Amino acid sequence: MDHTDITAQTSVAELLEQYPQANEFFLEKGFRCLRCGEPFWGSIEKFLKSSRFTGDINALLDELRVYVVE
Amino acid sequence: MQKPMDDRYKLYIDGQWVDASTGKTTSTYNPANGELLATCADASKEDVDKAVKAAWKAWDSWKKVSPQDRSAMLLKIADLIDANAEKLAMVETMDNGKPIRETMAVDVPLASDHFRYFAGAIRTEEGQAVMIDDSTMSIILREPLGVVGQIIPWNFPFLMAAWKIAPVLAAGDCTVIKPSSTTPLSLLELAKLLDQVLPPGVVNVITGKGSGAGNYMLEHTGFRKLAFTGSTGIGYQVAEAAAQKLIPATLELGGKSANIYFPDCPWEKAIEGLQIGILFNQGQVCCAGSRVFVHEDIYDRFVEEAVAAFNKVKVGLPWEKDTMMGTQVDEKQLKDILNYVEIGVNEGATLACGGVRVVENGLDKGAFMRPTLLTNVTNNMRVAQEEIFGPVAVVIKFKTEEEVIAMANDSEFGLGGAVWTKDINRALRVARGVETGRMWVNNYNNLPAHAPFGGYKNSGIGRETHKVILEHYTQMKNIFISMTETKVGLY
Repeated sequence: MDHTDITAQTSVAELLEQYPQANEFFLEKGFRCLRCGEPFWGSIEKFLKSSRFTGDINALLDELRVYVVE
Repeated sequence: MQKPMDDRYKLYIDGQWVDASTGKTTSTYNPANGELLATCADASKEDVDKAVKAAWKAWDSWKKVSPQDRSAMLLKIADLIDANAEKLAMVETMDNGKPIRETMAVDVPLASDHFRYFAGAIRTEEGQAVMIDDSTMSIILREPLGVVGQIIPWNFPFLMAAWKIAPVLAAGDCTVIKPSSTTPLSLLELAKLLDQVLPPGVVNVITGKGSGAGNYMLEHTGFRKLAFTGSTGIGYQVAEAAAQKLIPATLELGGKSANIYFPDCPWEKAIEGLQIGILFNQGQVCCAGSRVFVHEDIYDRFVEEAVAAFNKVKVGLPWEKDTMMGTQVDEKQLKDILNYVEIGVNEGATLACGGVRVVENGLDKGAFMRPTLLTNVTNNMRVAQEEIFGPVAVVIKFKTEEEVIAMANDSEFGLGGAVWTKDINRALRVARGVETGRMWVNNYNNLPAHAPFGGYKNSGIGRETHKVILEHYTQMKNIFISMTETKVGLY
């Protein structure tokens, strides 16, 4: 998966497999997508919804795409 | 070193070992050295469905098996576990990374005892009968649910398998059970033993990733109940999946347990209790004593001796007999833990010892780290509130009993905790005041059968390790009998 392919529907497990540093990205934002070694079961969108994220998901995804390739 | 496990495992469905329908596999590695241990089948949606159908087919006859016969089977399973203890312990040690001294002394024997406990429990289970009035009798029976779905974690794979399977068999249910894809092997080895005792389809083992096979189980409409042990994050997902199908779920989730030390604690045992609380299983324990509250009168001495004790712990290859702490379960988890140590220091905590990975003495290929203490922590820091799931304890000073109870309760979690004191009245006041399902007094991380274990708040729903769990795996039937033959007179 290229970083440009990361979308709201990308599974969190797949994201972390390809880009383990994505965990740090979310931690810095105050969200935990990896708990006890187990990634959230579902898409990034579902994860953010369950984490009560109320911001702009597209802006967050833009940031994430840049973060994982830096 | 000779591997005790097979190179390849299939799914165990309806008493048969079968490949995944897609042919896909996952691999499991030894976290101590990165070596490939085995490949396992990666179950598809169709495989989960096949397993559920097999379980329902088996249940037709399994539900009629008498408690006496089920008890005998549970005892036979326990005997087989004991007869294969060394192999099972080594499989667990190599797949999970925990020391062999723990798998031999704790994981395997507690598992076999679990089957023995439930073998005994069901022989004494009885219903009730009462005369509502002179001609009306009410009978209460407990009946099995049917087929349940169970998902177990990677921290105690074998023991959690026993905690889940023993009550299912005791209650007369059938199960489809999934281990973590990180540590599937001990359950698969257990399945070989179960196959020698149980009719086909009573226990079915599905392997695969949580986000794949695990999700297929949550989506399947064929379960009458879900049971999950793991993180609170996934616990919410399991609870939601169960609620959408109007089926119950029992959940044993995360924690941030308070290990509380008063000045009159039995000192040497207390220091060991600190180590048992956070270093046992490399700190990868849901009820780990990860918040250490120390009374101000003993704080300095306690921290000094705790640091010395932590620095003496031998971190080593898990299969070596003198190893006290093995490897974390994988690199991802180690990174997460070390990240939290950094977060703690950035928040103002003092790194009193540890906080580093270990790469010397042949440990460079694993996910090893030193036992870690963060001191001068306040209860509102992230490292005091968020579950780290590693050998990292945060130390917080307190003055009064009321203060420490309030701080212990200032947590989203409510799983375990302990109080160390020789004053029985204080022990009971604190144990009752802290909002958790388990409070140890002058011990930690003892988890035998016969004492119920489970959480308050975000640590879960339901209790395990005690016959009370049979209520979760059965349902109540009331038979209401009128003993007269005359009309009521209404119509």
